[in-house]
Amino acid sequence: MADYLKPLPEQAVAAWYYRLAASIASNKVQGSTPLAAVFLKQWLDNRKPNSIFNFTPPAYLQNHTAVMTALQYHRDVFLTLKKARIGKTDKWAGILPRIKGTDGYKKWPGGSIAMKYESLCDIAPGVFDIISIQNSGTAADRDLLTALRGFQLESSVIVDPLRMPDKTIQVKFTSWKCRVLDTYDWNYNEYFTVPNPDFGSKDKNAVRPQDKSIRVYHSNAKRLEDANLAAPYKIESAPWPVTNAALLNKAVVDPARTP
Amino acid sequence: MRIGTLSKRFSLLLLFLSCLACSATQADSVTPHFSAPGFIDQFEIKYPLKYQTGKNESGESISIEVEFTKTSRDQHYVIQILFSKPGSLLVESEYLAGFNQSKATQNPAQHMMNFPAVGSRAMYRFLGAGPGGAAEQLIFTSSDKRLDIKVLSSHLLPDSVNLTPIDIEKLAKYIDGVLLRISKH
Repeated sequence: MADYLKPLPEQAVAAWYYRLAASIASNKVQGSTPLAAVFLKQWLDNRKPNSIFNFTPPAYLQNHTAVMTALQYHRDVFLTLKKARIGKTDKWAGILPRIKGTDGYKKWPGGSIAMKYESLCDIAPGVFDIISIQNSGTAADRDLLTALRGFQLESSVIVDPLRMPDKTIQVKFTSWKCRVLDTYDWNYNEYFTVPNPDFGSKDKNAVRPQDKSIRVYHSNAKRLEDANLAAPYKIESAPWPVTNAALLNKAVVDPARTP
Repeated sequence: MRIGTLSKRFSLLLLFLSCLACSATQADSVTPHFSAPGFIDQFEIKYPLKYQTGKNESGESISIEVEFTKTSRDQHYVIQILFSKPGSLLVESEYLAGFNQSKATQNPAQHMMNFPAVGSRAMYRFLGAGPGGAAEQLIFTSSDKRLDIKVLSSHLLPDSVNLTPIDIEKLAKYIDGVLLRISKH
């Protein structure tokens, strides 16, 4: 299929992308504009590569199963029950090395400990996860799939460790906030086919109004960015408090335990 | 509708659509009425297909993955067809609200696209697009009003793969035709 956007001037291509964003926005998700539309429009509005776009995470993102699974993993890392994935290596982190003063941490002098950790949170790690979302997922799941799919989830916690008479340490989570970090950018060597927002339009600037769908090569995204009509950016959600009781449960760690 | 009825019809469809997962060269006629080469020719799928079936409280499904050489993890092309009880996927109140809104705000061609003439009634929805891909769905009630069917497509493809995603309206019409022929036997 031909690249019908290629021969058009960049301004016309940008205008078409805006109409695509509006088309996505017309299908609300739980009463809100879908993130896919918000992020696409922000890419078009943006002129500063690597600028940060802040957004309020919708409830369907905060409570998504993939997010809850990632937070459970974060809890295990903070409690030194699971190794932290840092870059391409797995290493022990969290409370035990801090209490014991090992692995480069200064030995715990007592009092609260602040820790931060981030890991990949993937809405659909594999093709059959995509199928599963399509099968039984909601419009919200599908919005997260197209808007984000995989992103970094960052947790910032403050824990109050309390040394017990039996020398174990009781750990209480006194604060836990998390946020989404991602980058909105295109792979210029990919394409997708979408419903043409100009289908049936009588506007003189309509692109291929006779076509129901149109193939969009992401090389066009590069053209817009090169012409300073769009720019990739970093996504940061506002932090939200973790309130799930199971995640905030007190835990007991044994400093004598070798992780 | 009894689940047994759904399963029997589903099995027949599955028998037919299973062929879709075979290569075109293997596919002989499965039933007197349907053949995979016909399907594949019609939809011009030139890549190998992998499929799986599923069953949950929503109904019974066939998921088809188009296999191609990926250059990044996010690339995919999946189609899913979900068969369910009438009224369960295409809820009348949602259909009517969507229909009226579309008629009031869209041009006639867009409105026809949103509510195409498939089965006894149908509703199309563009689910979104972004760096993770693009997705769309069409839900329809079969012409004999015995099933609600959802056809879903999600894809993101590398430039090295020249593949026009299936027109899900055309696929939905095709499935409805198959169901009509099954119901006559």
